[in-house]
Order: sequence, then C-alpha cells, then structure tokens
Amino acid sequence: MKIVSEQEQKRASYWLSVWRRFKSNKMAFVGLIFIIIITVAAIFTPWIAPHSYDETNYAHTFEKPSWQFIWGTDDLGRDMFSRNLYAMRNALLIGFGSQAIVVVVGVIIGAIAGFRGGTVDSVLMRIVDIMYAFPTFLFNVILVTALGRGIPIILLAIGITGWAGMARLVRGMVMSLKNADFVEAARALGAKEFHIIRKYILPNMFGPIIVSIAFGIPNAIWMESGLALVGMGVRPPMPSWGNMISAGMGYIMAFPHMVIFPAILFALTLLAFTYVGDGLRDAMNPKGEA
Amino acid sequence: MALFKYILRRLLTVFVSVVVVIIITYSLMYIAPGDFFNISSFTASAGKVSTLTPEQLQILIKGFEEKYGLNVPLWKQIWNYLKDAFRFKFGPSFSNPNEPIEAQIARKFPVTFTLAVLAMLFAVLIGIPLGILAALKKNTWIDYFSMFISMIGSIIPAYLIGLIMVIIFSVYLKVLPTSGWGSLKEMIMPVITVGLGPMAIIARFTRSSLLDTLSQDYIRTAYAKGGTERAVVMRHALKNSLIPVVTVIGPQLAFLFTGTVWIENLFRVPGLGQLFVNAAAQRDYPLLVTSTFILSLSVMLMNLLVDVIYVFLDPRIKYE
Repeated sequence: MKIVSEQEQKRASYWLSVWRRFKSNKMAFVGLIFIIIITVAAIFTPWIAPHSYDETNYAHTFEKPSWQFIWGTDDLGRDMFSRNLYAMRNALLIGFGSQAIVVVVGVIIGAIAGFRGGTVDSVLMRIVDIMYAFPTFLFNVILVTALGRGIPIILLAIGITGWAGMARLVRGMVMSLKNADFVEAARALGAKEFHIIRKYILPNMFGPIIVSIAFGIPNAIWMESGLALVGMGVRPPMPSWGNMISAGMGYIMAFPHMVIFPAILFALTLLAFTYVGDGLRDAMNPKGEA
Repeated sequence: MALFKYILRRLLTVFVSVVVVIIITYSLMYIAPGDFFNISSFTASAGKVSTLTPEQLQILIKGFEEKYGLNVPLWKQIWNYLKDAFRFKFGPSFSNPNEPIEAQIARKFPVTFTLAVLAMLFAVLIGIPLGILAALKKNTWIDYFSMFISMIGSIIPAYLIGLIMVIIFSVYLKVLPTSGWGSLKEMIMPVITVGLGPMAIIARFTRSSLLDTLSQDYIRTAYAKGGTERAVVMRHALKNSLIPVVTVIGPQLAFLFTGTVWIENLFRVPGLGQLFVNAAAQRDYPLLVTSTFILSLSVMLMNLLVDVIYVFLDPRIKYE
C-alpha cells in the first residue's frame, strides 16, 4: 500500500489549480498550444522542410509565394519556407539552450549565496551586481566577437550574460524559505539539510523559476536578432529570423515576402512566450486582476 | 547625509564595475581571433605583402606593437589602459590611427546622448498618458487599443518599425529624410523608433500600477468622502502610482543606450552605437574596448541617477 502524505496531496492539488487557472486564460492557453506546435515542428524540421536551408536555385531567385515555393524564395533562390523552419529551430535552440545555462548558473550561484550567507553571499552578490551592470547587448557582441558566431557559442553567450537576474531571484527565495516556519519545523523534527532542500525548498522555488524562464526565452531570441542586425548573429548560410529579416530589409520594397514571413513568425513566437509567462505568473499567485 | 553616503557607495560600485567591464572586454579581445593584440596573425596577414623581407616585417610589427602598447604582458596592457582610461586618454584606434579615440568619442557621444534623452522624453510623454488613459477606461476599446499599440511596440523589433516608417514617410510620402542627423526633420524617425519599445513598457507598467492603486482602500475612502473621479485620480491615485514607474525607467534608459546601436545603423546617425558596431565589425579592438567602456559607464550613471531620483520621490525607500 502506498501512503500518500497529506503534503504531497496538497502539492498535487496546487499544481492542478494552477493548471486550471492557466487554462482559463485564453491568450496564455493559445500561446502554449502555439509553442507546442512550433517546438514539435522544430524537432522534426529536417524531415518536414521541403528543401534544405542552403540549397540555392538560381533559376528561381526572388520568387513570390507559389505552389512550388509556398513562401517564395530569396535572393539566392533558397526556399523561404524551409529557411523559416530552420530559423525557428535555431531560435528555439537558442531560447531553450541559453535558458538552460541561465538556470544552472543562476540557481547554483543564487542558492550558494542564499544558504551560506555572510562573506560568501556578499562576494557573490557583488559579482552579480557587476554582471547586472554590464549592458547585456554589449557583452554579447564582445563575447561573440571573441569566440565566434556558431549557434552553440551564441546561446552560450546569451546564457552567460543573462544569469544575474536568476541568481538574484533564487537567492531571495532561498533566504526567505530557509527561515520559513515549515522549514524550521522540519529541522526541529531532525530532517537533514539535503532532505530539506529537496523536499521543502526546491518545490517552492519551482514556480517563479518557470515564469522567469518563460520570459527569458523570448528575450534570448530577441537578443539573437539584435546581434544579427549588427552582423554578429548566427553565421549565414545558417538561417535565423534575425539574419533573414536584416537580409530581407535590403529588398523590402520589391520583395516584401522576404521580410514579412520571418517577421510575423518572430513576432508570434515572442508574443506566445510572453502570454504564457503572463499566464503562468497570474496562475501561480492569484491576486485577482491587476 | 545618509543620501550622500548612499550616492558615494553607489559611485564606488560603478567604479569597480567599470574596471571589471574593461578587464573582461580587454581580455576577451586579447584572445579574439584575428588578434592584433598578440600579433601572430598580424604577421600572417602582413606576410601577404611579399615585397617585405622578414627583417622589415619585424621592424613593422615592433613599431605597431609600440604604438598600441602591445609589447608588454596582458596584465600590464590592461593596467596601462586603465590608468589612461580614467584620464580619458585612449590612444589611437586601428582603423583611424591619426585621430585619438577620445576625440572620436567626444564627437560621437553628444549625438547618442541627445538621441537617448529625446527618445526617453518621447517614451515618457506618450507612454504615461497612454497608460493612464488605458487604466481609467479599463476594458473599453480605448484600453484595448492603447494596449495593442504598446504590444506592437514591444514585440516587433524596433529596427523593423524604423524601416516601415522609412517606407511610409520617406519613400511614399516623401516628408522625412531617410537618414542623417542634425536637423529636426532628421531626428523625428530615429527618436520615435528608439523610444517605441520603452514607451510600450512604460505604458503597460503605468496602467497596471494605476489599476493597483485605484483598488486601494484609501482611494475608496476618497470616493466615499464625495470626491469626483477627476479629483480622486489627480490628487490621490496618480502621484502614488507614478512612483513605481520611475523604477522601470531606469532599466529602460540602459536599454535605450544600447537600443540606439541598431537605430544609428539604420538611420546612419553618427553616434557611439555606430562607432561600437563598426569597431566590432572591423575588429578594431582599442576602439571596441573604449566604446564599451563609455557606453557601460553611461548606462551605469543613468541607472544611478534614476535610483537617486526614486529615493527623492518616495520617502519610504531606505538607502540600502
């Protein structure tokens, strides 16, 4: 017989109610479905895409959308639909990848600072302050200039420059949680420190971290497009929405489809993540409408 | 007195941060490919000039190293740079060896500063009224419309909006010049483009802050005492709800300074952002380090200024 503790039951019902509140937020729910669809599409891109991202076809340059090329072709005759799919894949790779780095570094630094306190805390927090003060975009340009423009390096750069906020968030939560009454009670009952962290502190930090990731992903995608605009984004011929938009900008008068499709996909993706982030935040701490 | 100490401590933090920024930037440039800083690939590229004998090449490199102070170990280079940086002497750049970097900065900084300040003014002057209007007319078409505008401003990249504006106002209507900087007409589009993103965020924040305030007990009391809507909003709600708005203005100012980088490129505004991007593209490392230093310092000082203003506005804040 499995005994489910009352606490675990409560936790399950908490996440259930979060999900219920989240579902009732129409924009957030639509956003989530959109994200699921593009994520699946991104995973299977090499099989879905009718052409490769760098397959040039000089007989079909600058073609407007047609049955053969549903979103048209670009200046080198490359299929825009396929390139957009690959760009979406790269965007999600950069978004999720950079946030994975942010979470790992931010949680470790924030948790150490929060738990240890004292000198360790103040040293780590000074480092966080400095990271926070270094303008993110400039830092990214410099990292990419120094290390190169491959996708792994770009997501690494965005991750490295973005963890300071996460560290602050985690530190704050650890500081307040480690002195919370229920943790005090567990400690009084003789629970080991590791057990306390795993059972009492981590589950309570989960929500805010998820929300922070939901907002971090569109920021990372946006950052890549900013880098691309100054010629520091993903290196062509590998497509990204940033480099497709900035390349298409030169032809916008004659061939607007080169900008419109990537720009719309880019905006929709950013919008979807933002709505999901908003929805999650509202679902996790219901305070009525604000 | 406490405020003075607070400012002093923050200035110290800014100083330390700037030093770290320079160390990080300089070191990264040192390991960067095509590295002028440790010269080996300079030899390779100069080797293409086949008329030079190896001895002549050595002399050339030596002269180059001496000119840019690269003939000492990295830590010493950084130390020398830091010493000079705080006297605002940066030496020559690679791409423009005859004009010292400080002269280039002095020429470009006012442009970026003007652009950022005007854009911020635009963002505040449009964003706050838009947010207030949306909050007061909550869930009407005015609310939806202004929130739609601010959504557009925050999800469509500014440079794309800039480009669309160029197409509308320069190409079709022919009322504004496509690029340049100086006359009022040339300033309109860059300022609006840079300011749109922060405007959107300020509007959204103002709206939620005012709605938050309007649901407070003291507002209900003010209504109960017979205050008209206008009086309650103007006298009680607005002031308290605008204070937190100052906190979003700080980070937005920082964003503005870097946001100008893209817009300066698009509209060919001869500012710091353009200098920074060109330095990165041409791998002009001394110029890249210096423009990073100047931009970071400006951002940090702006943030400090906003925090001090915030402390003045809200007496409940402790100097911490």
